[in-house]
Amino acid sequence: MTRPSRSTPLEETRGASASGELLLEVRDLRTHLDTKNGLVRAVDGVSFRLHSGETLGIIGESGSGKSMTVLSMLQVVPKPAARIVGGEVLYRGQNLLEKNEREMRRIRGREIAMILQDPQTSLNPVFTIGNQIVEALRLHRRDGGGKALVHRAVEALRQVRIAAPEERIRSYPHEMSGGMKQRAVGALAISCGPRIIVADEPTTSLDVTIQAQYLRLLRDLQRETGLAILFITHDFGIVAKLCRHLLVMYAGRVVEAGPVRAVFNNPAHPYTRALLGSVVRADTKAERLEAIAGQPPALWGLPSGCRFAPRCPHADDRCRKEYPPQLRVRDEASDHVASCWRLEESHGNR
Amino acid sequence: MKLSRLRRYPLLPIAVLLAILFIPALFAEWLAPHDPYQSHLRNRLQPPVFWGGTWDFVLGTDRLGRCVLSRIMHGAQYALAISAVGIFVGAAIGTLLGLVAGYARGWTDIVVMRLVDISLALPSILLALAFAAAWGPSFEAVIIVVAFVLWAYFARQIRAEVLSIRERDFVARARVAGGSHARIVLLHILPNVVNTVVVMATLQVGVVILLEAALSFLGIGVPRPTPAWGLLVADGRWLVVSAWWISFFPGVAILLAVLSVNLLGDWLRDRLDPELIEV
Amino acid sequence: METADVADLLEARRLRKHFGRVAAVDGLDFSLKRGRTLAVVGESGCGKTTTAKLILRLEQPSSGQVLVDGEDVHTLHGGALRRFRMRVQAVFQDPWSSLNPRKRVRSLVAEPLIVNERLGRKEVDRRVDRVLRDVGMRPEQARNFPHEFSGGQRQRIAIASALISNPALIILDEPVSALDVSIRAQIMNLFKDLQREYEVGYLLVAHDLGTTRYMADDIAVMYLGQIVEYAPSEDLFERPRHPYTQALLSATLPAHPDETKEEIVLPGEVPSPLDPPSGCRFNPRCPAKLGPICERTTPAVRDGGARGHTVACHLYPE
Repeated sequence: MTRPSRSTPLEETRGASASGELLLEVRDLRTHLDTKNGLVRAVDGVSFRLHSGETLGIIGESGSGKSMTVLSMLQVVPKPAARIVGGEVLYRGQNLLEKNEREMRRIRGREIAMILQDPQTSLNPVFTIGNQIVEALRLHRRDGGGKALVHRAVEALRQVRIAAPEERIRSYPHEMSGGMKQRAVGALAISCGPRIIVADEPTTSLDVTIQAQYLRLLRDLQRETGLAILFITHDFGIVAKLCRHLLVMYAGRVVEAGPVRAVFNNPAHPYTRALLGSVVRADTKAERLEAIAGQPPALWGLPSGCRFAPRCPHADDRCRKEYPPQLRVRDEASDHVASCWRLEESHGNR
Repeated sequence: MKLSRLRRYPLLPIAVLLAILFIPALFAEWLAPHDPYQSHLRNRLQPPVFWGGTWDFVLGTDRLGRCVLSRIMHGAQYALAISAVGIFVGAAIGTLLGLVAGYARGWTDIVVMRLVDISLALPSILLALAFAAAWGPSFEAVIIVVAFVLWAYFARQIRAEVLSIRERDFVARARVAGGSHARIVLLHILPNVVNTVVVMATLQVGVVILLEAALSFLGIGVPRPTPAWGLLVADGRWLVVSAWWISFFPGVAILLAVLSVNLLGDWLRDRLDPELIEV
Repeated sequence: METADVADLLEARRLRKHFGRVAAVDGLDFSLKRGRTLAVVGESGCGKTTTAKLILRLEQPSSGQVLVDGEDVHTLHGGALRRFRMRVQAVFQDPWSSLNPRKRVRSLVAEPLIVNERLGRKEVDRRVDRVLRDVGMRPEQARNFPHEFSGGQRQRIAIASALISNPALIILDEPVSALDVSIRAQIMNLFKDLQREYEVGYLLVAHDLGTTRYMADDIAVMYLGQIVEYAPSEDLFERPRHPYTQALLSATLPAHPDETKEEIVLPGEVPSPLDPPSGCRFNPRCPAKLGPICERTTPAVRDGGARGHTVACHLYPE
């Protein structure tokens, strides 16, 4: 147990969660960030697996490293401040971190596509939607002439349930509402037939009813195409609605991971438990919310032990000194793990 | 570690500026080896010391036997004074109008911005000619021309910033708290554009030194025999081949001053407007 | 002050605001009693933000009135206006934008006092101290600048500033939606504690119905500038009447993956307020549309079943 955080517990339970082909395996990914305040370990040993047809939720607050994780995966981290310093990103067996920029360009968009939070900045305001989809297609698929590509673009818009796609293809982004724009970004993402879609809080700028539409759309798309979705969010509700597996991140590390139902039923890490407890619910009226004390951690000068220790009601000396290893949570799910010393006690011994 | 600390500060531009602008401007009386107006008729057109001249006139003398070095040092006073006063007046007027236009919007904004457009469309040299014709060349006329040329840049930039600042919630909060418009503009918005004003002002120093030199060179700036840098260059222009030092050294002073002040301005801009790394 | 308990703290009467041809707010009636919370809920373009601005006197209404303590706030001037500025405060959504980055906490918090009252330095300091303590901050933090604080702490500073003049009403414009999830509960609890302590009324503007349940006593659901349903909070959540309210409620995210509820996914998007649909404005998206009557006739406000519950929908008898 010299480097407990390096353990990749999902390994032990290979196959238990597999629904489809193993598409992506991230192992011990580490990304450092140079800031004015010093070095930040933005991603500090993150591991997970993603299978086709599966939706994996990565949940965390600002600064948890959830976005930096996927940016590192695709090697689009902000340079030169950010450096990927270790780990492997295996996409269908090939390590993406060993690929050069040209090879990565072929992966991005074509194999792994992204949907970002703000549709406003994802679309180029001076081109029509059709133009942008055709352009993306042209980059990645050399087959078919102009007509065929336009036809493909129309199909992509139809797939994201945009009404009258033959007309809409000629619209500029500013002629569309926010929800429509985010659908168009979705069309752009699926147009090249990727196997994985990385969605980074795609619904935070949308209205509630439009968000419901969008989540349903993603689910339907997945059912139709067998896409794997990596959904980054800060909202447990979205995870509950959409995801099968879940990764909870705090200050650059995965503190808990497992099947969504198991994590909700039996949250093992105090952070997960507290977050779940503090969610405002629509279905019952709470007399008082369980608040988490303190503030989100500043990312420089993190404690050497458990990063949640300063806010944790159960923290003791060992928590403050030593980072806890990832341990199995004893419940019905075999791949439910968490990094907390308390688990060791509940296990008796490991 | 030491080196990176050094690199954080623009030491070279600061040193150059101190050496050729600030120290001479403030202490020319004591530092200059000669009276800048005094002719040494026996020593006319002396070359600089390394060109066969003497240590008495390090950078040589001009047509009337005046010490080039002393004249450059005294000229720094004018360069500095005109930059400081001209930019201050221009920045003050421009900032005020920019604040008002951006905050009030509507008609005030339209009027101010049309004035800005007109001002930017006028060639500054032509403007200076008109002033010089009306009042005759004088120190004050140069200040007015400088302010007149500069205010529009400030007004346009500040207005653009105010337009975005006024939409921020702290302005709404100030209104909810009951603050008057004047209070909001002066106490809440102005402090948020001061950085921009300072950076712009610094970057304008180079422009003004060049403008002043150009005006003096054309004879519509500060009147002779004042040793303004532009005049010094102009004085030597007929003798460039035989006595190049008369124009050359004032030219070098202008170049170094403008370059340093621009470097300093760039540094200041980066410093006051740091690009934050988003995690 | 006996009458103040009876009279409403805040009342809107046929409140309207047009921007050019757009009716951003189109005939609102609502009221709020001292020490209670009214939530105004709706999606973008429903007019909730304009409503907040009208109450705060940041916009002038096209017609109708906003009354605070029975006085029309848009006719106030002089001393009465200053009193209004002390009695009504606001906390905005984004604590990164709502604190002037160039001011120290003390002057940020003290602003309403400094503008409206002539108090000595000592007295101002004393009140800043107290109010900072009340929002869970340390008085010595008054010397710091906003950038030294996290989002949650910045929102606490904004709240302190809103409280310092002992207001009777605070407009809360999405006060937690820009904050980290782990911080939201802290801040909402704080609002509740302060309400009890200061007996202040809240008008809470929100886009998500679910999150209002914890704080609101009454809820007004808005759609395209109009209130479609208005009810005591518990009644609204237990028995939502208007099809739009039902859809909003179904769109709130589940608290557990096993939670199943009827999923009403509305077709289309909110129509442009430039060209609102005739009749009931919700009719093009309504899953319970009756027929031509919904397209032709604007539904009158009817009884929603319980006390204080009203709904504007043809489904229910007048």
